[in-house]
Amino acid sequence: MGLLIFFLKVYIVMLVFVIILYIIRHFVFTYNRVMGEQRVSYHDVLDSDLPYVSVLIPMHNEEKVARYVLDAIILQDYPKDKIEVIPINDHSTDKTKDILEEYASKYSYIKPLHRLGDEQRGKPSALNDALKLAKGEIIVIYDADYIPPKGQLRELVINFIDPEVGAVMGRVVPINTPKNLLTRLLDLERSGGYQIDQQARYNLGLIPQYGGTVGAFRKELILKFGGFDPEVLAEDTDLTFKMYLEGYKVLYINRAECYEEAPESWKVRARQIRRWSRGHNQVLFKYLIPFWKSKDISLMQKIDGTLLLFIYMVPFLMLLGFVDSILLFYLGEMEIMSIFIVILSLMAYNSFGNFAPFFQIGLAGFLDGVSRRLRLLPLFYFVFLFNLWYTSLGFIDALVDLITKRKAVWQKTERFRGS
Amino acid sequence: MKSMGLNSGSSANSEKKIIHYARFGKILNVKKPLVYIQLLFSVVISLILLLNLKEVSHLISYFSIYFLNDARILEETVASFFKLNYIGYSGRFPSLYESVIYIFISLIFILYIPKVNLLSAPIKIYVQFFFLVLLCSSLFFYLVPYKFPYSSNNFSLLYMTIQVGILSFIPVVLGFALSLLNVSTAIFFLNILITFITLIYSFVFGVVRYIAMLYLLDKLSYIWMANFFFNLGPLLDMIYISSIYSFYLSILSEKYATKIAYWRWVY
Repeated sequence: MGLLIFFLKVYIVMLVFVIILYIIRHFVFTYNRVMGEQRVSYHDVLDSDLPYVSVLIPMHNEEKVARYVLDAIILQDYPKDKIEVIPINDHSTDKTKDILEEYASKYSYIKPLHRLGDEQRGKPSALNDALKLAKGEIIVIYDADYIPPKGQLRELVINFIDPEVGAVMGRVVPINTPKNLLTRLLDLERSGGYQIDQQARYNLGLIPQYGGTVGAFRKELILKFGGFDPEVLAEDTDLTFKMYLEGYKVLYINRAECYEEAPESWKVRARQIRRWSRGHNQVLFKYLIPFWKSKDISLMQKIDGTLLLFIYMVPFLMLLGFVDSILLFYLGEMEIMSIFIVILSLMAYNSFGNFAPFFQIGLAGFLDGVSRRLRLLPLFYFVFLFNLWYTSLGFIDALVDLITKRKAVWQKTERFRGS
Repeated sequence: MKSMGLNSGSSANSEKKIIHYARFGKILNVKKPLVYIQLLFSVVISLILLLNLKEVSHLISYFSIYFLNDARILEETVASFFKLNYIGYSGRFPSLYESVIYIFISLIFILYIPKVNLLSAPIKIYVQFFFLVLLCSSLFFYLVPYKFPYSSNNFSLLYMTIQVGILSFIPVVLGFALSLLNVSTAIFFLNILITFITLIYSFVFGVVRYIAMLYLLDKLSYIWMANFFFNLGPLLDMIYISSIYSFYLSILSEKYATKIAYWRWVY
């Protein structure tokens, strides 16, 4: 029993230190973004010799949103003779196919790919099939619910003038923020993640993340990697780490804002965050060791990359910490541990109000110029518990995938536009 | 000037007084010395509180004892160094009958809360977590009540340890969060004021919660002790800390929107 109590106490102490590490990381990010020097992209470069670009849009039953994204891409100021748009109809059973054919008949550069046979469904598989057809040297990806502003393709693509750039990532902004409480909270969360987290990682030369949409990458690289791994649900994080392992840079372009539809129900949000956690943890299991073995990555990048890889595992560790605390409570050992509980609780909330401390989310909203919405910050306490639960379930999913070699099935996020 | 920036005027035709920097490249024009002074100040305040834990805990006990009959102030050394005052108060074990009732109540809430459509998912999870802890406690008292390791006095000391811990951490937590807003000396002093307001709120909240918990442990039994500790403990304190912070931040956000000198451009 003495040994058990010792291990339970050691676990709590170690957890506190892990969480302190994260809070230091996020304070540095916030400090850097709010008052430090900012790195910008190559957007002021004027280049008449723009590369040929293939825009891929994976779609599964997207009749509610398909027209919006296609209309937005048609309005892009990118030369039309240097662009092809490949909307990928991935086994849709609604009117997505008809909508795509309608656009293809009007615009020669829109070339739909219909996947209707026995192929594996899911974003990575759909992208792999589209990559075989794509003629562009640069691939730009948008999810079907995204609405890119007019000049965005140029802003993303111009960065590939630098041969060291493997991928670029823009900022995601919810378009349906006023819809309900959840969308307002998600807007604040996205703000914390992009305005501060991604920009600071880019500023500090760490690991800005390619996010799978509003992003672009070199086709030759993804072909060299053998395409996207269809068994990994977080194909974006997977690509990010592949890029760094190959010695390429990922750029974050804070000004390349693209509008998305944030989930409008908690049920959809729960599924989304569970899928993200599952996919992200699959990448953790896959790349942690190769990442540390790489000679192309600096020590600071390795530390930041490791903290990034573990970000969806820490909530599970915290859940274990709660169970650990309850055991210690009934074993009569709380006197000594109580101060650690205080630290753990404060730091836990601080660090993982929503994968970011409350001050990071608050100051991101502050930089964005929002005011009254900032008063929602205390509600992140409840979101914290929600995230803790569904992220932990995602981690368990990934663990089961690893042990049993189970194949992950892609689950599409439900759309709400027009409903 | 025509309206072009983030915040347009009251009507679409109104002219803008300020054209703001675009949000992607604006930075706060922070006075770095004030940031460091505030961080230092916060650490000093926390240290002062840590070095005077006995006095702080005595003050909490002093205010609380007025509302509790037959209570007394006790003293104990925690972690071999910190002397703390706390309230000695009576409490009681639950009967077997009470334990069974609570087991059923907990199970009903755990199983049926997910089916209540009126509540949002995060609230359901919070309620389920709350009753899961209560279920553990009820089962413990049903199966091995004689092994329960705490008395009301033990809990009182635990609570006091946590409460003084929270009070000591508030200046540091808020110091880090507020220091990044220091664009002027006036804001620096406002930040300090907000820190003290939060400390006072925390003190009052801590006293009220202390009284309520000790009273309820006596009236409702020790079966609620784990819930008081895990569900209504320090994580709950973060709600008012972040509430005060967010309310203050939202006011500053409106104020800063009118002061272009508070901002810098990325280039």
